[in-house]
Amino acid sequence: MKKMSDLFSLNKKHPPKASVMTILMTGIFILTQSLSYPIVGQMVSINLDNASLKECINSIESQTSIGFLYQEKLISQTDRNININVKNEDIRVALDSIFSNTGLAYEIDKNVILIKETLPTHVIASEIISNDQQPIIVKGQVTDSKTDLPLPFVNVIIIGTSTGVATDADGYYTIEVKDPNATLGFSFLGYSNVILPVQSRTIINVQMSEEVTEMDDVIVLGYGTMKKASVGSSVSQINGREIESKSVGSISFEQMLGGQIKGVKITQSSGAPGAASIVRVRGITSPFGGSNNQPLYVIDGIPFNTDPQFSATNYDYAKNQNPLLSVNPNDIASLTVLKDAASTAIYGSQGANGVIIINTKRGEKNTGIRTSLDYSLNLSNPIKRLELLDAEGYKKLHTMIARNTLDAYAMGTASSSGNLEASQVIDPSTGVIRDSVLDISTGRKIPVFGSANTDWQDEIYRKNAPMQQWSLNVSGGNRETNYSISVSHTNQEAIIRKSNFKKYGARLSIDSEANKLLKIGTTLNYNGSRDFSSIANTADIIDMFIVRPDYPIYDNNGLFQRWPQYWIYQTPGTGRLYYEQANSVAKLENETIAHYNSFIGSGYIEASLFNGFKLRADANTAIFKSRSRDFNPLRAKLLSSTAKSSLTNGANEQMKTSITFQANYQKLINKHGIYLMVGNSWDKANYHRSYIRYNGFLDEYVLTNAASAINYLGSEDGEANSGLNSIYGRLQYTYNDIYTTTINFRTDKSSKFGPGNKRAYFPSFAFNWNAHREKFLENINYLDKLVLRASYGRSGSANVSDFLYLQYFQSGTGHNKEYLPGETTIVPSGTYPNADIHWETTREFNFGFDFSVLSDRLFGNLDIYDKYTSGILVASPYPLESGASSFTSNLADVSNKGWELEMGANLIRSHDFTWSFSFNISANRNKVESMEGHALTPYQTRYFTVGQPIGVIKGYRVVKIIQQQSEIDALNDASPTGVYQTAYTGPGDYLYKDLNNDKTITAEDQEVIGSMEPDFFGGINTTISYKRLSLLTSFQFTVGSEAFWDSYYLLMNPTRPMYNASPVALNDTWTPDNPNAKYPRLIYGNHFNVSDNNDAILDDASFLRLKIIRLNYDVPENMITKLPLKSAMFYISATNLFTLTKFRGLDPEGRASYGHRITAETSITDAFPLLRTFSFGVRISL
Amino acid sequence: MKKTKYIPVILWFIILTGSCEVLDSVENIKPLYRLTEETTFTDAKKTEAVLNGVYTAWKNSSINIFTAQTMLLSGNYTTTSSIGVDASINRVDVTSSYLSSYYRAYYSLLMRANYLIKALEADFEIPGLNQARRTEMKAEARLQRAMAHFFLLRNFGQFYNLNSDLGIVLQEAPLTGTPDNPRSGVLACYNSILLDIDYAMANAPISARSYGLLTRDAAKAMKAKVLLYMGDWTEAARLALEIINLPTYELETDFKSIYGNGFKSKEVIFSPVSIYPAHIDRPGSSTFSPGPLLISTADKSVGDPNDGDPVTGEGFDPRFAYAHAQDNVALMRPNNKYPFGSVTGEQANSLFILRLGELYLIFAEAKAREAVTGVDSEALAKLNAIRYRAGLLEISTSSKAEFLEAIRIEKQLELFGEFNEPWFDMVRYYILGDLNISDLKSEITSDNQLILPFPDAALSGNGGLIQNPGY
Repeated sequence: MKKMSDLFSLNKKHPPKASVMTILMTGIFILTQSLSYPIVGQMVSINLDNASLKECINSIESQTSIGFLYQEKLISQTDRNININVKNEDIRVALDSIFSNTGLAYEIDKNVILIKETLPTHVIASEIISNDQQPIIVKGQVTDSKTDLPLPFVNVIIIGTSTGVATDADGYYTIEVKDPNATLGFSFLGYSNVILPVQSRTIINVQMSEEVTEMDDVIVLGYGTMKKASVGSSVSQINGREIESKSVGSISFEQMLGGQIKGVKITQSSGAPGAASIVRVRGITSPFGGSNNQPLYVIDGIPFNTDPQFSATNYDYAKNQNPLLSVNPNDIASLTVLKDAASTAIYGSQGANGVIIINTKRGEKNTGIRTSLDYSLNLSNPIKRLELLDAEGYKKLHTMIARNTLDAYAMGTASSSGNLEASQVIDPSTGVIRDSVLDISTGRKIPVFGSANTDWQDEIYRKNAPMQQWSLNVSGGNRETNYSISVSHTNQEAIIRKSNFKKYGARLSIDSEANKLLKIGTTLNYNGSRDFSSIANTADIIDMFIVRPDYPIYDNNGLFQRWPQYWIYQTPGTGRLYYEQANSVAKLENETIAHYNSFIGSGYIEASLFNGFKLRADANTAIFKSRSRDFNPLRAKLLSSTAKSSLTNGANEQMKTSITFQANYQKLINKHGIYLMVGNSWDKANYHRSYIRYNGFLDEYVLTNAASAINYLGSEDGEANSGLNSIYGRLQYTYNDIYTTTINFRTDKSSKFGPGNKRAYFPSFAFNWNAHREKFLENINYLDKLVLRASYGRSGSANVSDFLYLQYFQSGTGHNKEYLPGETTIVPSGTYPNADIHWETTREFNFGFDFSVLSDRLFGNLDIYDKYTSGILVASPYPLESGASSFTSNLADVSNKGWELEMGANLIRSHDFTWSFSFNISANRNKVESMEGHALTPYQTRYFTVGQPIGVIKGYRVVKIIQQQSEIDALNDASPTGVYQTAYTGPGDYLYKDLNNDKTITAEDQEVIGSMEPDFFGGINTTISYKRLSLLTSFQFTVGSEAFWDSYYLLMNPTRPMYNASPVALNDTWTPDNPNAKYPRLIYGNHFNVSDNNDAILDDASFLRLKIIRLNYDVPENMITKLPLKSAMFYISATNLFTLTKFRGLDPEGRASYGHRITAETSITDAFPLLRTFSFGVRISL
Repeated sequence: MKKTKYIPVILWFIILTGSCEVLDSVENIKPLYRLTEETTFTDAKKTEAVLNGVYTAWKNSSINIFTAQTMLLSGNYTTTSSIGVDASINRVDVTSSYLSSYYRAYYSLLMRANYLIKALEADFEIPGLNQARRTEMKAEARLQRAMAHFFLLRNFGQFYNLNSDLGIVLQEAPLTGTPDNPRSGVLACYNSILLDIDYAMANAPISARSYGLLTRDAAKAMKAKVLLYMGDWTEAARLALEIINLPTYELETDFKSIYGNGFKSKEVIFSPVSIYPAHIDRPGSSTFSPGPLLISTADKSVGDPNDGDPVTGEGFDPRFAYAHAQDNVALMRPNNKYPFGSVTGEQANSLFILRLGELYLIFAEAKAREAVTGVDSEALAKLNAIRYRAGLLEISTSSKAEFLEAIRIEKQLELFGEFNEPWFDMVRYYILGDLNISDLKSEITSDNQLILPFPDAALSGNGGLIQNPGY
């Protein structure tokens, strides 16, 4: 018996059979069995009426053990109209009879019979000579059927021999054929194969047509690939072309993935250049560890976290890069999301939050040089601007607030600090608006209101901020080697004036069959970027807009106008001005520069030792380096007597090294296929952060380097190593391509945990049933595919700082650095050791089914999962009496249950017009199952409650706006403490509901009022093409998630005269004259109503967004024939064109993610707005 | 052909074994730049560095920030910030992160001291460290442990009632694991504090090699203060007098010089060393301004009760005028008791945890209370010494109650805005029946408000901790 592996293996004594090999590349194949001796000459007997082709094949197989190789689809499409009656005839006679009416052809390829379509129309010209039985020279040209362009490097072989040639650069070939009855095979990657009998012709010109391949027939799994038809777990894959088309105008590929992958929620929370998105695969499993619950990324084989946790220095000073910027979206060949534990178990301890595997593009063998050049111009504007009052409205507003405050103070419902503030705007003795307030420290009279009218948004936002992107790719290959080289450049002028972002990338990949045994390959990927931000912190951008519009940008001397901040009021009308704030345009004088460099390099060596057995060694390195420089000149800072310009230089480096060794073996015995892989890997990570701070500079424009600083303020650095040793394996058994069972196993040993807890085991099991291949479903003609999947697995997570089990001692930092000058200190670290700390473990069941009917006109898949994570690493309560500052333990259990549905339809599929549509929707129900009875900190209990989802939002219920003082007096009188709500609650304030009926409002009166977890989320995608035009649209939606509108505090409740507000604050807030207003009263010094969590400031953050719309035009070949181009394509696109939402702020997606706290997502901060981008792009191929 | 087949296998194994060398076993990955307990106490120098670490714990910003907030309890200060509103109305928020940081900061000091004490008491040689210094170091650590326990006790425990069960959690060894760790009784707390102080009085360095370090005399001064809180008037007065009469400490002749010299002042018994930029965040921040109680007391002290000029300080107690008159204070430093600017490498503001001026008044109060009736002349002399130094006229009285009140007022005007002593005086005087605390601070309506609540975070981390009544 010849081995199945022989067919796939490159280790053969004979050159590969081109026909077999190339056919194998075209899709799903079924290989029944194969013989080790020639087929020709075998005898068969068959007698069947109205039989299907499959039945005939079965009949032959049962008699002869001859094997067939065919594409499933071909066989299933044939009619049951075969009538055959042969007795002890040569196999060829039987086959001729069988195939005569099927529209299919067969081909005997030494030891298997290939079944393929007959392609009668391929010969466009031929000449027949009648010189039988003599060797003849056959010549011809191979061209593209659509474009008529010549195809170089097409393989032309004489089927059944090892003779073969390739076409030249102009598509011509010449081949000597000994037997005039021989058959020629033409194969070219990406094109359908052509098989033609020579029939004594000497010139055979052939047209080949591009093959529509299903890119996702092969699924990338951890440490290998698998036929999609065998996958039993839950995996989604997007091909590179789709990522390319949807990432127009984005620097980082994950930005546009929102709504594309079922079960994966992607939130783009900031429009800042290069900002990372929040990616959640099937809910939240580790909410507390400090990590952001991000999936494991595996880029070209290198696993890494985007949010690694380690304890070293102040995170904010040493800025980190979004490591995903290191991949150019155009370079991605495939992006695969492993979702269930059965698929992520192969990554063991790192897989619990899902795994995203990205493989970059590689060249193709046997192709000429293919060059493509992409260019795009993108013009961006903020998706929405804040609605703010102009100077006149602003003055009216503060006059109103001052009056409200003075009146309220007189009634005892405003604080004295509020009264002081108001007295500086209005003279309480006369009720007249003041002109100025006397600064007693300088004797200056500071006007209460200025005379300018500045729209700070106009001054800060750039209009139509341009971004240009270029990328060039050259790829190709010969028989042994393939390569791909690409370079790219992005130059973005950010929407904030003076800010820009530049990025450069270069990538090289090569694979080569060094000799018959060895294959080697490498990928080298470099990316560098420079992010210049003129604002110190992109999260604070709203602070730059909500400032007083009555002040100009420049004063009379042409210097930046400052405005008063932090008065210490003495008596009404006078005060001491402590700080003067820089205006928002002056704040753009900051230089926040981050240089990012990343390198991802991988190399492998693969040895095919004997049939079906391969050894492979991989060595991978990823380095992410960032170097930052924050210079804050005095002119951009708050001015006080001690303020100085400051400089912080930071550096951040992450290096990941992984080496894997792997052995693969595969074998097919009759209908039984076995695949076995075992491997081991060493993963090592090194993290380093450092920063140095200086202040005081003589010159604030040029001499702003460290050497020019007057004071050195201190520095810190920190470094951590962590390591992981793993052994993993996969055993797969397939029966008849109908049943596949996959068992994964992994064991990890991590340096993060103490003795006895280092090792963990992660097994998984998956089962796949291709039901449509069963005999009993064979006759359902409309059914193309029906697959049932079931899986169970365990995976883990350990994204916590290292050595949490040890009490260690270290040099004191900060104020602990030294006590007496020059005498440094040693202090026990603040991490309270936990000797029992161990892995988080996630167990997950997944059931799924895939179907496709009516020749793929309608298809879909559904997954249902149940996942339970136990021993979640939580920053846990610990005895404060230990004196430590943090403690992590395996405290909580969390479950995630959900379903994901994807439906697609090829609604129209005519020659000129196609319309495809797909829709995905997912629901995840997250629940905190257990806290092991621990009381958490108040901060935590606000968002974590047993039985509720993570990020549950608790707050007061607002009953109404209080109208009369008598109402609140009655409530206060009834209260046991004499105070119902707060001492200053008065008419115009919200009245909270007393849930526990104790006549007073306490924290106990808060209940669950919402959750950051959506009820559903997903996306809608359609593509319509007409001839050379195609229109792609992609929507994203989220339904039923709530969040606090963080800017409510700012836009609806200006606490001091230096803040501007929304027109609503002026027009729709409660005053005695406007008792029906929607919003409560505004008074100074009122921290009570708005800083509480209550349902009035909670918003429904559901939305439907048109994420991208893109129109493509392929230029007809005849228009570019005069140009040295193969093809050209233009597109225009728009992103974030519209958003339907009830959310009151800028953007329902603008979730906060500061401090890596997951529950920060319970509020939406209106930080850096997302961009609405119009793009124009062109791609040409040479 | 046959042979070449094995080349990749050989190559593969070479890489495999080679990479084992490159990528070390996970067992060999150790914390970087970190010591363990075993590798810390291996020589005298490192052990001294651990003691320095105990001293730096006094610079913990949480102690300093919240000390400022506790100044709101007495009404001597008010705040313009939304943080601290709870303290100014004497209903401290148990969920406040400032409260838990304050609580933890003292235990952080205790952790440092306890690890050091444990090592010094252990049965192993520390190369280069002689027995005499070893004992001294232990005494310095134990004195600081006593001080931390004492400051915790007076904030969180019923320090004014020796019979109360509601003391604090004593931490006399490094804590491990998550045991239930109950509160000790108040007397047990005082006993622990005194045991540590007595050890320090016997074993601490006789004289300090530098400012900012603790000595036997400092221990004695501390003991006088603790005994005053315990009501041991005789012993408190005796020890205070011993300190007053020592040549080691001297009253600054000019009140201002205390602050101008800062922790280097010859009057200072303990004030942590503080140098920019690693300085102490002062309680004299701009968000705290003098409250009505302090302003009226300072106004009454000189001239008419309502003649104070906030700009020049005329008509106010000179100490208040020095600290808060607008003409005196620099921009950004509204409390002139914290006069240093921020120039890197130079002396910075610090906390006056204990200074000689307070010992005069401890003596005065202890002596005054010791007397059955009337006014002890020695006590009056010490009070007037402080008044004289402040530039005030001497007072005289024959009423014990008046005299006690005069001492309290004097302490208020001498020590306001420092380590919050006026608040604890208010509580002690109230408990001893000398005043009605609600008259001074109307927000105090219950005895439960005399001490702080334990922070929520402490209760959730220690199953043995019982919350103070009323919270």
